[in-house]
Amino acid sequence: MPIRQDLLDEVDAALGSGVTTNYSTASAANDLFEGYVFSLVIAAARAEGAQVSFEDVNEAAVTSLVFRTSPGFIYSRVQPYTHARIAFPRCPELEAHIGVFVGGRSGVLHECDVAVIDRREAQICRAEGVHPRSGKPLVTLECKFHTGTLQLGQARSFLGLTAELTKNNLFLVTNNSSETAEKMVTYHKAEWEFRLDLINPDIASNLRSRLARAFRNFKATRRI
Amino acid sequence: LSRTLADRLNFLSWARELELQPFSGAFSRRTKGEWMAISESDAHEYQIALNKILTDHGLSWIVEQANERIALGKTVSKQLSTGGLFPEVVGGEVRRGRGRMADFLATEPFNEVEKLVIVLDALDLGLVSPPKMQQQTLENIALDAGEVRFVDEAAPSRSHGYRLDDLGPSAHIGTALGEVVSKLRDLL
Repeated sequence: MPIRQDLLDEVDAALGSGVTTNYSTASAANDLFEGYVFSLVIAAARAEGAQVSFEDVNEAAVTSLVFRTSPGFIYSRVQPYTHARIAFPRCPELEAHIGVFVGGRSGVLHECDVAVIDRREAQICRAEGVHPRSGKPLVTLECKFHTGTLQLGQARSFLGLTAELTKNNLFLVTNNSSETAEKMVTYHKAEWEFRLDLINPDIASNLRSRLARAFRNFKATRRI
Repeated sequence: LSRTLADRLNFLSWARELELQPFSGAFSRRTKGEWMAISESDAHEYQIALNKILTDHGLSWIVEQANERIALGKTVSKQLSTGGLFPEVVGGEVRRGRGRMADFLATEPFNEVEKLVIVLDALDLGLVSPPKMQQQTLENIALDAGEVRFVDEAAPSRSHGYRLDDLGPSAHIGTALGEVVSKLRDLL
């Protein structure tokens, strides 16, 4: 069967109009993925009845969102980084952040790609220039975007994070699949959601349900 | 059909066992010996050509990540006797050791068709999905007019962002590419 040069030309032509900077590097694509996972947290919170608004580090309301491309401090004022303010009726308020450091049990700082933190804790951190404590995130998501496969080392690193933070509502989420990583993470009874890609909308729906359950449990236990 | 490599390979393997052939997105039954899947050398040529196109468009990271996966190979399980290699000497007589059967892990290289599937998956994951992801992000956040920006403090030139009204070109690339990737998959 001869090579279909016409199909290769179609690929070339499709890319010919120019690829935006959003996909020009692996890290840029990973940023988009973290933003997408953050948005699933927001959607899950709203589905559970939360009022969600967005504000910057000074707690001023914003309509454009600014996120980090690399991990940073929750109290950083270098840029007006955005977090979501999540308010369930009669419950302590929460905040969702992208790329902030959280202190681990060993006293070492760890980056959390997406983290939902008690707002009171976040406010103390912003006021005092300290990092959220290990037990404080309600939900943490470790996001990995890869067009090949999830590296086993990344799954191992995630398992280390579960020992440092908590296994409760700490998820490894990736747009891809890896049988070996799935096997290892499952063996260690950690939470994961692989193939989180718009090609598999049921996976996104599944993750959103799991996040919603975390919010439901929060409401049940923390309602005032 | 699930679009993951593992599922797709399992399906292809199952389809081959049943003498089925992919044809225009469906699988039609053929008589034995009429299997017309893409050859290994054609698959190799497609890979080379696609890698070059991606690299020429400044998307070598997609090629590199696909190649990382290819380099890892696939893990397979093999059941072997643990005693066969070490003969026992009993009363001056050499006997073959009676080992138990045990499962061992082994790594096998991907064949050229599997490698092409990995490259096509990479195109889907790296370029077809992200515009949909951006669209869905804005819908989930319910940010009608605002912008999402990712700021790189160390290298501001690497900062990037998007807004609803400028997703058109990316979505167009994603749609066009998705269609042609689908046609390429039909060749497998």
